[in-house]
Amino acid sequence: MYSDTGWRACTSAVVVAVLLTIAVNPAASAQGTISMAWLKDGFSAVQPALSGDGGIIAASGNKLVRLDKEGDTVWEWSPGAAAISAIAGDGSGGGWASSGKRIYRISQNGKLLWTYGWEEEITSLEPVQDGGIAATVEKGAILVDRLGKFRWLYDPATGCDT
Amino acid sequence: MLGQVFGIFSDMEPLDYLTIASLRHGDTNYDCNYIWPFDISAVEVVSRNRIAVACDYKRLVMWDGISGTSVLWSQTMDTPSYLAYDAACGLVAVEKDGIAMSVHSLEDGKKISGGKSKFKIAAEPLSLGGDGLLMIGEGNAAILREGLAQAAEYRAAWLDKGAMSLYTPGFAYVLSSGKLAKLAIK
Repeated sequence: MYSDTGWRACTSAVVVAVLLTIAVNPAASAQGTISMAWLKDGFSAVQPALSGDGGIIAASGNKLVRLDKEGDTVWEWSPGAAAISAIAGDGSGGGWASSGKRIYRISQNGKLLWTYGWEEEITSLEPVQDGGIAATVEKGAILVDRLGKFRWLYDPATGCDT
Repeated sequence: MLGQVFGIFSDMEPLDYLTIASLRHGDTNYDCNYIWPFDISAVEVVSRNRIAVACDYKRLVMWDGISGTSVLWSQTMDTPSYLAYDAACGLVAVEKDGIAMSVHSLEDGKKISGGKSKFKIAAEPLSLGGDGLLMIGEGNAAILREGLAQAAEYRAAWLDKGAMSLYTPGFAYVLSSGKLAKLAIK
């Protein structure tokens, strides 16, 4: 017959046993788990970026997709037919994306704020502290400020050009 | 530190270049010529003043991010396929075979310990914010913690070579084979 007192005693014994095991064998505390929270299909092999709210911004063909922490779509945005080549997050739900020779600034609501065009393909994006975006290009790196204005080009062959 | 730039201009095409660019001015006061002209195969930023670089020929060096003609230390070793750092595991080099791993001292680069992965590591390791490293191979992922002990393993056919990953507290995002997954990490 079910006994609440007995169940409590049993539970306590199990807890004590586990604690003793961990104390005697520290390696036991190093055990961990990996489990699936969610899985979505149809994404491109472009390094995604964290959105700042536990979610993520990723590329799906020519679309930029922001997913919340539950995996639900918050917004989608597309630069057109060209595929997205790089992504960076601003930590507030928005970010930047590149496609071909252009950098696009996207708001936290998935709206285009500005576009910046360069003479070469953009290969990667890295946000900087003052709201600007650094990008690697064929010849080196460029910095575009938070308003979408060119700041400098660093070309290892010739040095800095502002 | 923006990353690695290869083949910067024609007459230096075989060379790699290690530099820090000023975000304010775009100039490079901090170049490291010590490892010229060696090919850089992996870079791991341990901290602002500790940048581990694996480069041919058979060397692992630690640059302070400032010195132009010297590094903090240099160790001879076979060029690893991946370098990773996490406070729980230390500075870890994954050898070319994707199986053998070594932990190196941040102070002098000497090998502290070694271990073997249960599967071939085939993607950049992911630091779990001081709680270990997430290693990904073809069909496998695992958490490695202190002493490179495997703390957890996950198997899925969609995990493949070159998987990309990101860490957010308690979770890892993994992109591979067209699938994007959020994995809970404990």
